Amino acid sequence: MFNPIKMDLYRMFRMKSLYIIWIVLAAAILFSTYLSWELSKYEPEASQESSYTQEMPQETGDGETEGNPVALGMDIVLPTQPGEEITLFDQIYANLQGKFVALFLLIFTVLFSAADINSGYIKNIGGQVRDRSGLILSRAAALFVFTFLTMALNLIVQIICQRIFFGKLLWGDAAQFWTYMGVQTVLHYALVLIGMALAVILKSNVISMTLCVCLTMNLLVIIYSAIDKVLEKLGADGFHLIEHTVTGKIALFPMEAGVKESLLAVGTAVVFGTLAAALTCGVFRRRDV
Amino acid sequence: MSEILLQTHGLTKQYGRHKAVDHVDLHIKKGAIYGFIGRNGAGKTTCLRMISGLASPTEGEISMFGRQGKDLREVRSRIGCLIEAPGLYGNMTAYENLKIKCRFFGIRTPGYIEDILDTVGLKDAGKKRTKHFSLGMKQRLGIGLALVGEPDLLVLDEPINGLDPQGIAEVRDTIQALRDGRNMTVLISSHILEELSKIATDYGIIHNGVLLQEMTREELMKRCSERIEITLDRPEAALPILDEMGFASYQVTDRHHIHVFERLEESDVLNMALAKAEIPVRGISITSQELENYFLNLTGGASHV
Repeated sequence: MFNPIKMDLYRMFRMKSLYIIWIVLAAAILFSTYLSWELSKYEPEASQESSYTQEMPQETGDGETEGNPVALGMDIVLPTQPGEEITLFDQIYANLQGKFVALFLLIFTVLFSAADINSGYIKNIGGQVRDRSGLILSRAAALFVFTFLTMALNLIVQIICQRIFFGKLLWGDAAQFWTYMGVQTVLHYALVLIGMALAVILKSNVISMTLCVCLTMNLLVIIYSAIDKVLEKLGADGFHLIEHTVTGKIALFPMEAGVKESLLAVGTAVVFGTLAAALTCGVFRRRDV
Repeated sequence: MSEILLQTHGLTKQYGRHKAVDHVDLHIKKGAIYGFIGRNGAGKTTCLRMISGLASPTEGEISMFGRQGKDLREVRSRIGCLIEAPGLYGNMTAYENLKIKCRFFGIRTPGYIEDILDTVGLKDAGKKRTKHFSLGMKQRLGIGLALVGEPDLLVLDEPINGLDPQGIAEVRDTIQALRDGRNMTVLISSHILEELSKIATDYGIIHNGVLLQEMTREELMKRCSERIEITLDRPEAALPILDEMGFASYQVTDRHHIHVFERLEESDVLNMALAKAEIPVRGISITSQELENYFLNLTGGASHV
């Protein structure tokens, strides 16, 4: 079992696209932090107030909260409230909940997962394994390493950027921060496994990449809303499907999460991740190479 | 009799209503170079994909190294294969492509990859990205990849396709050397019969998914060589005469033909002897057949190629 993992790790670290993704991600973090710094420098109160306003759910006339706070497209908004200083936690939260990091993770996941299938390299090894699902589990293990390293890179680059632009590093609530990072890492890994399933099952980089972008841009919200409407007509009032999906959890997981919320998020990730991996294994085992 | 290393029984692969491979029974002896002949679309690749474990049969069984059914997974690692075009990572070097497969097998022996590159004649191209390789170099690297893990059975699908004459000769020499030096059994498919006939020890001819014939090199050469062809109604009546005259190399090929493979200059004497014994002979002639023609006749003629 360890040999295929070693093989996939070697393959992963030899892929040029891995380093390109990381460089672009680092550059994007640098740029977004620069913008945050610019805004805070010139109009600290106004910009933060604006951001804060966007974050707040809209209220209807009868006082109830209306609609879903998850909007279409990539929505990266700092949670920093007026009068507060921008912390590392704020920046990390904005990037993770906006699925900015997830987009980069999914792009590489699709490229990596389908690379051996598209190049035909799989023919060199696909017939020589005792069980072909081992090849799926090995790439899932390699992708876990990739997810972990990308999250770590995100954190390190953000720390450096905070130091460069703000001249100091404010962590925010450390305990909450690490809980948030941990849960988001698990959720992002589950999303990566879904991306892997799409890439392997569909065998088309274009289609699977498009679907992955749709996932990160919240385009599936349209489908979720339609399902919610149907369920509402069936009597399930107040049910929001997005709250029970991995992308929904990534977007909605709060900065100050309790144990129950954290466990629910991790549970969702485990269920979706396991299902995606099992489905991929099943299809890959039965399908001719 | 040599030990059978690989055997298929009723091997069938169906795509929708189309049977790409239809109840094929192959018998491959240990140490043989088995030439699998068939025209494009005859079912060669599908057969090899099933043998290599890349596709599952719709029906039938494969047994190799004395294992079959679910036990086959235990011996899968003893097969090396090159099916269709070589599967390579274009942005990686030949060395890295081989290293990936070495990792898969857990091979860390120093100099192992260099040895394989040397075996397939790519010693000086190890650091070159494979996207810059010629087709011949890719084919050779594909064979190199199949060799990782010291397989006992090498399955090569059209390995000389698209190669220039020099490339063909190099691949042929490599295969011959692997069989002689490492005692590998090689299953090789091709539609270039003349090339295959230079190395194969056994043959299987497949057409429209059906295995038409299996024979040794000697049998094939016999069928294609110069011979006296006697056409008559009762071949069995002529056999005592042939024996009396001391003919040892002959064969009753069907209900009306006897092929005699020796003393071709005595066809007139033979004709006289049969007439004397009151055995009616419809015709007697000296004929021969090119390997190509033999194959074409067997598979329905040149018009189908």
